Amino acid sequence: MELVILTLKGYLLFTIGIIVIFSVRHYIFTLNRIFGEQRISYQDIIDSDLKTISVLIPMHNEEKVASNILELLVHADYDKDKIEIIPINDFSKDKTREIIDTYAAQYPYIKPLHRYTGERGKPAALNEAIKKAFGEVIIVFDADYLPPKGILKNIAVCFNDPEVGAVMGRVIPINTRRNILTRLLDLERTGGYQVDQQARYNLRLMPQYGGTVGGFRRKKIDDLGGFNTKVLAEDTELTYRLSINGLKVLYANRAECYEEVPEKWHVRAQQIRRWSRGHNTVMFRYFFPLLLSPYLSLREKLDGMLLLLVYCVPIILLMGLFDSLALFFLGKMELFSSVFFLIFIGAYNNFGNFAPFYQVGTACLLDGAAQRILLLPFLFFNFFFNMWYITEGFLDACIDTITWRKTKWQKTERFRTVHK
Amino acid sequence: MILVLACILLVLLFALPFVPGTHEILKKRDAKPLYIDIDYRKDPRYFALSFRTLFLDSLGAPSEVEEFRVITLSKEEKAQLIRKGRFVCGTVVENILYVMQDLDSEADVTFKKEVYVRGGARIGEDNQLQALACDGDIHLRRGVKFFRWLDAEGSITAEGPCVLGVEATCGGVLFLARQCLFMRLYGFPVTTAADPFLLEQSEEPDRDTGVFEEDPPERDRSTIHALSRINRSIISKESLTIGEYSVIRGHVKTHGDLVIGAHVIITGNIFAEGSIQIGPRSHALGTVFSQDHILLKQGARVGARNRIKSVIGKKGITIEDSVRVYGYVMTEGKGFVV
Repeated sequence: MELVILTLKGYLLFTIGIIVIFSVRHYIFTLNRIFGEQRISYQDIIDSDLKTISVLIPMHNEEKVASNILELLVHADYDKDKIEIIPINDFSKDKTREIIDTYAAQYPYIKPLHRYTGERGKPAALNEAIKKAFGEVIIVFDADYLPPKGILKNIAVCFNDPEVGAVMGRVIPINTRRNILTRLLDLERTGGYQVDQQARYNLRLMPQYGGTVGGFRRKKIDDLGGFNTKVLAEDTELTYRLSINGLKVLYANRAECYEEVPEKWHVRAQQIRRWSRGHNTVMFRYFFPLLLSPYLSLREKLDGMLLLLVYCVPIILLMGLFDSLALFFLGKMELFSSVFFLIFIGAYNNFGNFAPFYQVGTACLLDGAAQRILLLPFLFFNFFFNMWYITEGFLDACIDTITWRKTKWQKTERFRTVHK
Repeated sequence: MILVLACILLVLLFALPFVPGTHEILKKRDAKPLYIDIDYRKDPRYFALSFRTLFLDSLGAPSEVEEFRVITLSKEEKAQLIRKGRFVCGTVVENILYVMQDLDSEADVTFKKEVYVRGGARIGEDNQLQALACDGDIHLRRGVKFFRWLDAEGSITAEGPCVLGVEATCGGVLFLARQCLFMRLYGFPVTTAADPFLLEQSEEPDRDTGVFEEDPPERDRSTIHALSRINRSIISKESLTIGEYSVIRGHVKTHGDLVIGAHVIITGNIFAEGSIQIGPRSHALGTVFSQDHILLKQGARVGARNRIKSVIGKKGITIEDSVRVYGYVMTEGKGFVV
């Protein structure tokens, strides 16, 4: 029994330690954005030698959004003899095919790929498209994105740096007005990009490639054998594969693009569970290779490790909650005299509330959108919602890794009105 | 009773932080998505071209009559339309100025608003201007100070120490005399050489212009000896020195400082976390980018006649004599010609 109590208390201390580490990380990023030196990005480079690019847009039943993105891309500011656009129709059953073919008939640089055989899912679709792509740089957009005219140059110019393997732009939700969920997701995105990613770029850590509004070197992905179709988070996996092989992921804060965030809670639940499942699968595969890479500095390894563990923290916290309850019912967690309880509540509150508050609040101020800071307390509920579904995703990832279970791709539901 | 009051108080305290947020959810004062200009395209001459378009759209039908008109830029303003701009010493021009032919100002003239010249512009000593758009050539005498921008469809010649505001851009040669201060420049080329085309004619064409990108880069060199020939990119974790008369047919990236000796040719791009020094008569055919300072020593070249490149140094750029940059020069710190 003593051993059980000791284990429970030990785990509680471990939880507190994890919370403190991640809180410090949040604060460092926030303070860097406010007071630290801001590195300039590559978007100001003007270069007449543009790289050839292939723009890939995976689409599965995207009739609601397909024409929007294609219409914007045909008006993009990029030499038309150096660009090709490959909409990838991945087993669609709606009007996606017809919409793509209509555009392909008008624009010779739109080269559709229609897939109705082979493995389903985004990684497999990208692999097949890359085989036929001519670009030195591959740029990927999800089908619901609305790329501005200058974004292709903004992304492509970053590859002038020979060390850059992938580039990630900034994602901005467009459907923020819909409901409380879209507004909270907007806050999350704002904090995640304007503070978290940018601070990681400033501090020369490891920004993350997010799989959309970004690009990567075609040759390098060929050398690495393409995307792993067994991993749901192919973007996170690419981040680590490039990093441990000596290339960097660059975050381009001014390469901004609108996206559509989920408007229903159950859709959001599926999305975050999928992200957690994919991310944790990558964590199991790359934790040790990351530590052993000769190309990464100590702080890159540390940041990379913390990034890998991000989707583990909620389950650690959840188990910490159960741990503290167990201690309470065993009579070892006195409510008012236990220093452990106070430390736990303080640390828990810190991670769950204050640390992201600082990031999100700072990001809103930097964006000049101060009123939305008033919504920060609602992130408290979002935290518990995320914690539950991230934990489910973590368990999914454990089962996938242990049993080599085949992953089934799920796309996020779209909410835009159908365009004829 | 006390317990009930305590519970009510607890609920109120718990609910209090949510009150302003609830009000925001209902009123939606800040619910719009963050603004992205979907039509934005990178253009170094953006301010000037945008000003010309707005001005001419607001002016309407072309006029040969000298008069005052009200035009709308960001707000309604008074514009003075004149045929030829001749301003004597000490004049202060209060309104936006539109000159249908040439502009010629004597010393100590102050232009408090934007100036748009359809011909050429000769700006006298110690003039002060907000902004100048010129459809011909701009010639600046010593001591001219711009607070915002200047742009010429032709060339810009700063014959003495001048302050070139936030942006100086042109469609032709942009010549800078010693002690000119700048932040952003754009020209073909941007030069401190009195006759850049004469220099070009006297140079041998660069034979080694290819960039070897396919092979894995060389890593972790700190020194490249003089007269080296390297056919791949170089990536270094620390500082790097490249000896004179070397040829690198690839890109160069360092996480420290980069010192390039004299007569070096680098066919690719150059990136450094630290400072970059490009030695006398060295030639970088690609873009030069530093998170620190850049020093272009005498006779250094960046880009080529048919290759627009950029020199971007976050903390500052210093340019010596006879330097040519074909394209864009930018710093967030101080740009200076020595």
